[in-house]
Amino acid sequence: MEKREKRRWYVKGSAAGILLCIFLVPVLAFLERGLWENGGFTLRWYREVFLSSPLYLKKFWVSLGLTLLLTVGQMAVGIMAAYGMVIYELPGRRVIAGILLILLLLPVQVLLVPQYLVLERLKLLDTMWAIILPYFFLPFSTYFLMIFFDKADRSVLDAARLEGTGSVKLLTKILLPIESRPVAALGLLVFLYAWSMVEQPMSFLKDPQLYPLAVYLMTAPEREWGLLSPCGVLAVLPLLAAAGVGIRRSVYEA
Amino acid sequence: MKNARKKPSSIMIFTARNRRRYLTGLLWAAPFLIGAVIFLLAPFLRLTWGTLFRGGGRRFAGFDNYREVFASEAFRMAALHTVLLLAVSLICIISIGVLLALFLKSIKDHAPLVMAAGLVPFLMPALAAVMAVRFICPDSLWSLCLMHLWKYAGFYGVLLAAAMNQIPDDYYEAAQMEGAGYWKQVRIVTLPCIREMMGFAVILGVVHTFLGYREALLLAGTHPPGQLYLIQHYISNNFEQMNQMHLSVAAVSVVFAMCLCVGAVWAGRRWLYGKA
Repeated sequence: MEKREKRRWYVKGSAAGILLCIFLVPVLAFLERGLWENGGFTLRWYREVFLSSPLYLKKFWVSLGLTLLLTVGQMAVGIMAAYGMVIYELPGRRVIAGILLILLLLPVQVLLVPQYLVLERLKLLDTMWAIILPYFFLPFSTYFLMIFFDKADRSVLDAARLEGTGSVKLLTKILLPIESRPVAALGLLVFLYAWSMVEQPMSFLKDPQLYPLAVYLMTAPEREWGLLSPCGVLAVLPLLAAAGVGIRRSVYEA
Repeated sequence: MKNARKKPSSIMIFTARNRRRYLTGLLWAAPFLIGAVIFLLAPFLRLTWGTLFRGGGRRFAGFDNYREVFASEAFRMAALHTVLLLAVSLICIISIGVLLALFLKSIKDHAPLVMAAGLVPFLMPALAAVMAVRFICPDSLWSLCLMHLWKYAGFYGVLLAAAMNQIPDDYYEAAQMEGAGYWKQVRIVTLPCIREMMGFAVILGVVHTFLGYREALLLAGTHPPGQLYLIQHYISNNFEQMNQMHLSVAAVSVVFAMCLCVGAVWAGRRWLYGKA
């Protein structure tokens, strides 16, 4: 038995090792590109991105602010909508959920042109609102929150309601603390998607100054590999931070 | 596990108390509903209406536009490739996700390290995935599939592993007492219990597959040869050429196809969710 268990450990260990390689080696290759110039190790690219030119850092902070706004906005709208529809058992919520699901599954390109026309009508094109508003009303958070809230233990809510708790308190003091784990996980996902959003800025904004960092990473020409790598690092930092917070919140909270 | 509370029937019963309740709910949901109508539904309805006309919106043309687009080689290729990509990706996602989750479960205490490593590709910009895959079959759907797996496998694995952790040990013990080996236990206990999370993985899988368009762009540009030409390339390229009719028809077709799929899954949910 001892030998068999040892062998099993070796197999699992090597499998884990292989997985780690598969996941991390391309990342290391990506990082390596940023430390290399004309055949030698150099910090030039990192110096340029982080120290000499304010351009990238500015883009970074603007993108970060924008992404936070998008995340908070979509989560707030989604939480309110899911709360209203599920907890108050709004008739027709199943149909609405079905429609949201279909909208959710569509590729971005399908709605890009019609949204463009609407934004043009509303004179929001070329402003940040063109990106912010549609993202607030993306059905992603609403749909998943509807599912999560549906599973919540209604007895606590009903007891609170019987005691006369108002609807705002019911949401903030009772439902959200109970559902904090799924909500945190969802918030993390929304943040990640918002940060890497490229199609909408490229279509709705004409001024390249307004493009978030992710767009630069997508569209910069390949000769600038050296620059792109530290920019990529820059781009990943907030995601790592958010992931750390989000995962801790949703996994380790008992 | 699930509370046994019966759902209210869908017939709208208008008592005084219900009316007040529905009103509150409606108020809470209002911002989203209004915004969704403005930015999602209305654009789409206008788009659909537009596909029935020709000549810049003057002449009613019925389904002529659809006939023209469906007959075009480009559209057919794009549609075929997209459907193939979705089918292959979803199968790979579910199988590899489940295997990865089972593996994570079997490592228990050492799982967080692999989980963290698996989530790192998710956080990387699209560029990283493209770099890694560029040398392996760059013209085939498999490259897109590979990039998708590299990027999200850790994510699906963590998701499914979390679901697996919820399964009580008694289920496994009962199966063991009936003489079930490891893989039989997986088939009888694990898979049925994580059905719902697998559903989430499928939904997110579709979203991520479509998001893979970015990697496809980085890999092969706007007019990729062979299997990489997807419906999104079709729509975007027509957008560049101001070919509104073509892209509108394509867009509406995608939505219609999605409706069919979701409808089919909903109708078949009794079969999917078993006799539970």
